[in-house]
Amino acid sequence: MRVYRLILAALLAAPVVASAQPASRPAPGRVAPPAKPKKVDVDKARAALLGADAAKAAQAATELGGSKDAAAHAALLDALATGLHPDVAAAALAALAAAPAKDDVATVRPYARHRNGRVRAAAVRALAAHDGTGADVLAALRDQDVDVRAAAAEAAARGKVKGATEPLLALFDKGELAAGLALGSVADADLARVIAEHLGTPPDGVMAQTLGVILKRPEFGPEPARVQVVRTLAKLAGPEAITVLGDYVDATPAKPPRQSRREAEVALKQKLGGE
Amino acid sequence: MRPSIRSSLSFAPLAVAAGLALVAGCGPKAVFGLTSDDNNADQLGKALAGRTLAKAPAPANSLGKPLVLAVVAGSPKKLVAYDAAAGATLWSVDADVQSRVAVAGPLVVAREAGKVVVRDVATGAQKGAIAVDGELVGATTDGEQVYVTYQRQSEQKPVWTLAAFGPDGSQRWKNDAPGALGAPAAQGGLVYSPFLTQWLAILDARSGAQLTRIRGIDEEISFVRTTSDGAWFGSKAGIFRLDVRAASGRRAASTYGAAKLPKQLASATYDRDAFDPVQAGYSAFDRKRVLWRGTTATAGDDGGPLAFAGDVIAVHFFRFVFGLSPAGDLRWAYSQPRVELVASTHAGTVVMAIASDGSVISLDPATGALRSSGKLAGSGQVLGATFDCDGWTPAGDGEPANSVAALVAIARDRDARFDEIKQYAVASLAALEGPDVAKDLLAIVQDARTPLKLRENVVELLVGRKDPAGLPALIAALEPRYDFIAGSQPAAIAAVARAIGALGDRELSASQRSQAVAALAAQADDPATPAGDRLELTRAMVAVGQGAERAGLRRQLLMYRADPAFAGEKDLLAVIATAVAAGGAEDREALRYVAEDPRTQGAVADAVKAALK
Repeated sequence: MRVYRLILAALLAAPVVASAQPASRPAPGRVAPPAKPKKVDVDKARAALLGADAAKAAQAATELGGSKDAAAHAALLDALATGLHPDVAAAALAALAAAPAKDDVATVRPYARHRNGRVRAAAVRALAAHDGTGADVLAALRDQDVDVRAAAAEAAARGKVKGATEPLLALFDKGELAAGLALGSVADADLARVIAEHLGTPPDGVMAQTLGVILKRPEFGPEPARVQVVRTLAKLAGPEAITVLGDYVDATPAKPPRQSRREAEVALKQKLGGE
Repeated sequence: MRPSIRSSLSFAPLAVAAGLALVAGCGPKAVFGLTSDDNNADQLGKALAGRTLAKAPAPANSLGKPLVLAVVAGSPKKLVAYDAAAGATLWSVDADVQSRVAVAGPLVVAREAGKVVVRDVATGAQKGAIAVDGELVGATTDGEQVYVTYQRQSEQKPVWTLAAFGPDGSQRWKNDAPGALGAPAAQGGLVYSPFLTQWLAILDARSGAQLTRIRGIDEEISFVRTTSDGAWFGSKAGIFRLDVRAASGRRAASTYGAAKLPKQLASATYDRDAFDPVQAGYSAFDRKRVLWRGTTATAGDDGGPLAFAGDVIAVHFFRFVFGLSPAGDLRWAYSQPRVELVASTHAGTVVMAIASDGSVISLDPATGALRSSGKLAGSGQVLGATFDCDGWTPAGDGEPANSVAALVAIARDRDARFDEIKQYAVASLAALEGPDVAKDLLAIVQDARTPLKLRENVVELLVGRKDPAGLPALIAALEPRYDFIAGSQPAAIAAVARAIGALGDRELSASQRSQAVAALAAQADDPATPAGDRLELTRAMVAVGQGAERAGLRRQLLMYRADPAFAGEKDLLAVIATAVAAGGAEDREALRYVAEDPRTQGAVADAVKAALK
């Protein structure tokens, strides 16, 4: 262990940091932290992580991610810094995303350009937990791998990454649901109107689910903006719009009366009657 | 079709005699006969001495204006006289022109429908018409008379006739020939008539009598051309000046010359084939022409070979004009935008051409600079044209030539007919120096519409140039990245990498090398880069880096050593391992670590161990 750490210190541009300080932002929701940290035999897990068996190494990475022991975090960083099987790297990055530490970025960032898409997606999620990684997220929105773009879209929304709206709208236009969901999760009334103006460009199903995310947000408003969203949904074909309208009617109390709910009911009746 | 006798006629004396025996005695008059005092220098000298030539290069027409006589498609066709100096149409008349147009003195002559029509050069008005009893071979004029050569069938035998007429169409004299006559030329009291591709008969314009005759001994005679300062004859192989030395009939003893044309331009000819009925009219042959002028100053009895004026020729090839040294080295290039040049000439001071859309251009023969440009009035397609512009010098210096731009335009032309010319253009382009050349070559390579074969050739030229001045352009070509949203991606990365790698043994600064390595590494590290490109990028890094690439390669080796996909890239592995092994102790220590660590894929460990040996 000590020998390769010394080698790495000399070889790698990316510094390996053993400390595990809390990151400035909470981890993205997709990689949920363990409810209760388990007691992990760090030495044993580290040995498995650095072994030849990729399946065991991946499992060990997950275990180490569940530990609050700084040594466990350092073991993950060390392993990533010296190269891992892609399956193991993805698991190690997911573990780091679940328990981010402030010096992770230097080790994680190179993995955002890894040749394996799954690894890149995991790296983007891990980076999203840190400040100063907006450029990485924006770059990942342009990745050739749909999973990486989806991870980036999610990260952009969670981190409210500046400059992400335009590329997300572009992806939305190309029919990428993850981009739509990301937009829907952050849209204010103005952005909701912009999204609605894209009617006809992305598939109706993607548009419906995007608008559905907006309607599900209790803070979204004011009511006229909700009405506009419902009216756009009413124009959409396909089962997704029906599901979204139905969910909205179900989730919205009948009293006090809301115009958006009434219009959703009417639209729903028309759609169901027409089918 | 050309008479078969020509193709069967050998230049061996016996064969010639045999050929003539077949035709001798068949004609009514013995001007074009078997026996004659061929290659008589005294007679030739006397004949030429009696010739009247312009005192200075000038148009042959009596207006003294540089004229372009253009035939324009339409129903009916039009014959248009364009004054190049004024940049304006002089006149335009409806005329069903079916031959080349000849002009001299006050006369314009061309076959229209079944007759050779004589028109006034000042107005285009018809002055006379000559009925042609057969297939027209060619018609010309010296401004006083009209000379017409035609072929007809007589008593089951073909007969060729050269006849002279007055402007009103009245016949002055007539000579029949039992063998093929070529299109005639007339100049200063003489008429030149190619005969059986072996002779050039020189006749007295007033009487039609043969004054003398030149027999080509080691080359056929398939064209004769007059300019205001002389006369010339020859074949596809070369050009003889019509001077006393031509009486030798041999190249070596004549004022003879030929330009060495690049193979891609070798189908261009020095003049139209006077025996080819197709070329009696304007045709595609006019779009592949060597444009030349011979000097007269050095020629004479004891002169040397023919020298080309300005030591330069031009080759018109469809839309393009190339200025070449007589040895075939490119001097300049011109590309006519969009449309083909349908006719061209070397007028002495300028090379002139007319495009199918009626654009008339003149180029400086020495530099390719565009000296003038104008356009015929009207919108019809120009089918062909005759230039009478000898000695004309356009005002002003014109636009400087941009040969690089022209060569790039040629190389990127979409017309599939020009693939050979595109190859020539890129080869010529690659021979030029400067940063823009690399940029232009790259643009050709990166253009997805470039034909595969051409692209491959350009890549090889780009790699072979090894021009350090092109490095910034090559580095810039590596800047674009794959972008899903924009739908863009870098192009021809492997080619760019090879070109940069080829500079490895050139003198580059450390800064240049590190910039190159950084640009190459950025592409190599891009996950969107295909494995094949990554290999070339890495090879280039090693070639140009001189060690600057090693740290990056070491990082790559560490990051991917446990990746089965990386282990499958065996060539890349070998390149990286070898490059890192060539480094210092630290590098080799890293390799040993990679070789021994259990996470490392077997193929990676094997490659590293091999490099360490």
